[in-house]
Amino acid sequence: MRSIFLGFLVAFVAFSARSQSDLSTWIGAEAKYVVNKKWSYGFELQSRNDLRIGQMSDLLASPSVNWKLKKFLEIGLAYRLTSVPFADNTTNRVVKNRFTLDFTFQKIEDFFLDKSRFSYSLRLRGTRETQLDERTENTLRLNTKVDYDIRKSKIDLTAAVEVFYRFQRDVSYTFTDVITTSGLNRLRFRVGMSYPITDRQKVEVYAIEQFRYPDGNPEFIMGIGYIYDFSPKKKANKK
Amino acid sequence: MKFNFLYTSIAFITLFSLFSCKKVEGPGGNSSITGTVKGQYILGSSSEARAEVTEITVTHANGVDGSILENSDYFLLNTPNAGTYYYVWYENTNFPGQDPNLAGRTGIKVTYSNSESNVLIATNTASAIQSIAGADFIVSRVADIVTVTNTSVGEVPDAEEVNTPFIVDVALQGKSAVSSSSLSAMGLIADERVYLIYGEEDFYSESVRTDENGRYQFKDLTRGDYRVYTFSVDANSTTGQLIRVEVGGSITDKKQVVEVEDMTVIK
Repeated sequence: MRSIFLGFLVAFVAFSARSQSDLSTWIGAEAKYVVNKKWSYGFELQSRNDLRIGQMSDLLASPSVNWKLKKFLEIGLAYRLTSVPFADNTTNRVVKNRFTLDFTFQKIEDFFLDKSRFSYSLRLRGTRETQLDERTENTLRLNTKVDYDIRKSKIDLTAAVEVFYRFQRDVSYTFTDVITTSGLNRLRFRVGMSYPITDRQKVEVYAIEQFRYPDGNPEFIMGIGYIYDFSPKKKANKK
Repeated sequence: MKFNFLYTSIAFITLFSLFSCKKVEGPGGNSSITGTVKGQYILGSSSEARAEVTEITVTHANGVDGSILENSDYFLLNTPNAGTYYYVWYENTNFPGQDPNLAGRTGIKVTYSNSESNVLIATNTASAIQSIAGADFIVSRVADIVTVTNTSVGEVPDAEEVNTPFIVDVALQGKSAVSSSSLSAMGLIADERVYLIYGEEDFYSESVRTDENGRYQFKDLTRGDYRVYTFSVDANSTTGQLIRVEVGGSITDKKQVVEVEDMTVIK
């Protein structure tokens, strides 16, 4: 356990060490409402700030609904409203609308192991984001996540890798043709940990390093989140 | 509380529809409008319009250059832009002459006698022109030289002494803002600004400049109707006024390149 935790810290520090170049912070709060075994709702607010610019960047509000179709499969729908600056050095803002459809395959470890403190999940996400006067962005994302439940501790560790595939990522024009190219748009590595403050409240911190393509420029993100569970009857989070 | 995935999906689809309604013309697509600007350049250092100035040196009586004004002699004066054309004819007070009655022209009669000096004939000529054609000419005289300036700018068929002994010279050639004789050959217009109007809007939203081949392109456009325009010197203007040269195009599909008609301009 100790080695895992240390490894996690090393990864976290390694991520942080790269923060001099492109550093952003994500600060969020999420409300959850678990209706029953099949249905749950959520609402998330998040502020994303680019520390290089030193001004508020994106503000997000995202309601979502999840339906547990099978033990191993959950389907999610989400809408996200994002307010972004119209341009640098201006207070004018524009909005983006994003719709998300998730297929999450959970507890994959159960296929291979009887009991494990590791939990594997695979999420296939399709998003469609629109913004006035901008091209619609259609993206397919594949996220692989590993959670680790530390023994005799309330802390959960998480590590994830996510690949973004953007349809019509690049558009080039000639006088006779429009050539569009779809391709890898982003690669994101994430490590984080969460800690339950009470039965209903939980905080999480995480670090993300992501690379945007085709340039491949790295970005580093430090995030903190607060989650409150409004469910009528608290569901056990811990195994 | 009963939850139904169908209802939830409908709610999301409705929300989706609200934010995914049909886009109007403008950016956000992946189509383009392209075209070419061609035309002619005005040659010379200036395209400023000006009036024609004609100088008439009155020679008579003393047999300057061996010439003597005779009864019914006339010279021609013209105006630009298909205005009134004139002839100035002379009648000897001692010998009534005959009006040449030139078709399509207005006659201006000047009387003279053989004993009159050049200056006096010049004075009478100036007065007669001013009297009959004052709207078309500004007339002045210095000694025996009558200066006739057209009141309208533009190209003018040169004045002609015809059968008078006078010397009729064009001191300053009249010129329109655009003169056909001063234009270059038809070619491609480089570095010319071209404007794009979305749909039925009144004012442009984008502008680009043509490349060295007169080509331009507006990118990232959605489906819809667009108007493209640039400016040209008005060939009929006497003041160098600019007019809009406009063509239209419609994008009907994604990833479409719409080639609009060439725009022909005078610069």
